[in-house]
This record gives sequence, C-alpha cells and structure tokens, in this order.
Amino acid sequence: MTDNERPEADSRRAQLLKGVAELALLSLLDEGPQYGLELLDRLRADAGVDLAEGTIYPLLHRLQKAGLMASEWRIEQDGARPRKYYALTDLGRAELASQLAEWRRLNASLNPFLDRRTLR
Amino acid sequence: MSPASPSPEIAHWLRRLSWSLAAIPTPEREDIVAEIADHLRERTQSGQAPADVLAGFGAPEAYARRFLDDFELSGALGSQRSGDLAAAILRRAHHSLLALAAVAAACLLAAGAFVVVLTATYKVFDPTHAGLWSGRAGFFIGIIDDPATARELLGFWIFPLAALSLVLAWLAVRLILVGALRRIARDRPATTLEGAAR
Repeated sequence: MTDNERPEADSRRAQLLKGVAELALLSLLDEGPQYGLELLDRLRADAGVDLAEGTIYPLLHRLQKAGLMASEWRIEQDGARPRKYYALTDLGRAELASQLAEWRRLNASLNPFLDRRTLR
Repeated sequence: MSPASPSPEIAHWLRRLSWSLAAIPTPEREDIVAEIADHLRERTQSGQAPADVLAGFGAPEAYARRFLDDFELSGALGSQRSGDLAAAILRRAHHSLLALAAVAAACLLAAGAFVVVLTATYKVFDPTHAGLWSGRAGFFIGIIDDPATARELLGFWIFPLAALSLVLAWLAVRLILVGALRRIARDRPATTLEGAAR
C-alpha cells in the first residue's frame, strides 16, 4: 500500500468501525466487568476493532451517561492500583440484544448480496 | 492510583485536560482525569514512550471536547431548561442537518407566534386596522391599510388566540428541541471521534 493510499484506507476503516465499536464493546462487557485499558486491548486483539488509544473513554463515558453501563473503582488484588471497572446494566443488556439482532439480520442479507458475484 | 509519578510530559497533558474539562463538575472531572492518568501510567510502565501514548489521545483540549459534548447534551436533556436546550441545539446547527432543521422549525413557529402577538398588541391601540383578515387575496393576519377591502374575522378573540399561540409555540419549540437532541444523542455513532482508527 502506498503512502497516498494509507490515509484513504484508514478513513474507510474508521467509517466501517463506527457502527461496530459500540456493539463489540457491549458484547465484551457481557462477559463481566472490565476496565478501560483491558477493554481497549481486547477490542483490538480479540475483535479486530482497532480504535485509537483515547477513543475508549469518551465512548464509555457516553454509554454510562445513557444508562447502558455502570462503573465503580475497585482495588486490585495487589492493593496498589485502583481501577475503574465497567459493567452492563439491564438496559445495556437489552441494548446489546437489540444491536446484536440487528447486526445478524443485516449480515444475513448483506453477506449473500456482497458475495453474489463470486457465487455465479 | 499507583505511587509512581507520571512523567512531566504526561503530568502537563493531564493538567491541560483537567483545565479543559472545567465545565464538568469536580467529582466527575476528577474521575475522568484519574482514569486516564491510570491508563497513561500503565502504558508507560509497560515500556511505551509518553509521547507515543499521548499521541493516541491527541491534544488535551480536543480530547476534552468529546466529554464536554456529552456533558452538554445530557445536561440539556436532563435539566430540560429552554436556554440549555436552545444553546445545545444551536452549537450543533453548523454540523448537524437535524439540528439545523430543528432550529429552522423553531424559528418559524416563534415567528408565527410573534406575528399574532404583535398584531394583538397593535389592536389594543388601533382596533380597526389590526386582526385576522379575509379578503380577495385570501387570509392574512396583521395590519391592513383599508379595512373596507377585507373582513375581519376574530375581533377581540385575537387576544386569547395570541396567548394560546404563544403557549403552543413555546411547547412545540421545546418538543422539537428535546426530540432533536434525543435523536442526535441516540444516533451518534460510537466513534464519531476523529482518529477512530489508529
């Protein structure tokens, strides 16, 4: 990929990420409470959602304001580092179910459509 | 937090972030800054250079703007005060079509109510030339030069109508502003933030 193509690819990737970052985050939190850095690293490593370093906190802040998650500071086992853990609320779980259903519905119709030319 | 002190570069960045978040109440602001400080500390302790870690957050003022936008939106929707609602929607009118449409609709409603109230006020001083008129050109509300060319329909009912239109316009404008802000808050994609992807 040339230097000229790279920003264009990044921008395209950012556009595609817009719709899925929130869904992936809610899905991660459905496993149990986690802190911001852990969520960011898992979004990158496990979900392939390559968010910029600082993007996670405004997103968590917004979702908490919307009532989809709650947070609390917890002392780690080593006792040296309190961390802010986030957990899904009932509203967050309902939102996850709704976004997941929509994502699956969209995938079910879009994937065959996008693959139609290779299937011919 | 960890007893290790942050590097001067990170400490300076955090101070600027805290200043930029001044509009957010202290406990919430301190909470945001403490969480990010912890993140930066953990990254640098794992061997990353402070400058590299900070590059992923951008300028503190721009980064703070992301929290302030949310704070302003949720604050306006929470307080439901007309001034807060109007300020929040006006600040978004230059980059949101929905906010612009809400401002336009609110202005139209306010202008309509203003015309009725102005006509009613004028009628106090000049009852023969002000009112709701039906003439050859159709209906219009306002002041007429020659009352013989049209028929006035409301008489003194224009006064309760003016009061009613003022109340209805105010309620409708609030409904539009609240509806538009809720829609903007709900539909905002997760990463409308610049630099969503690394």
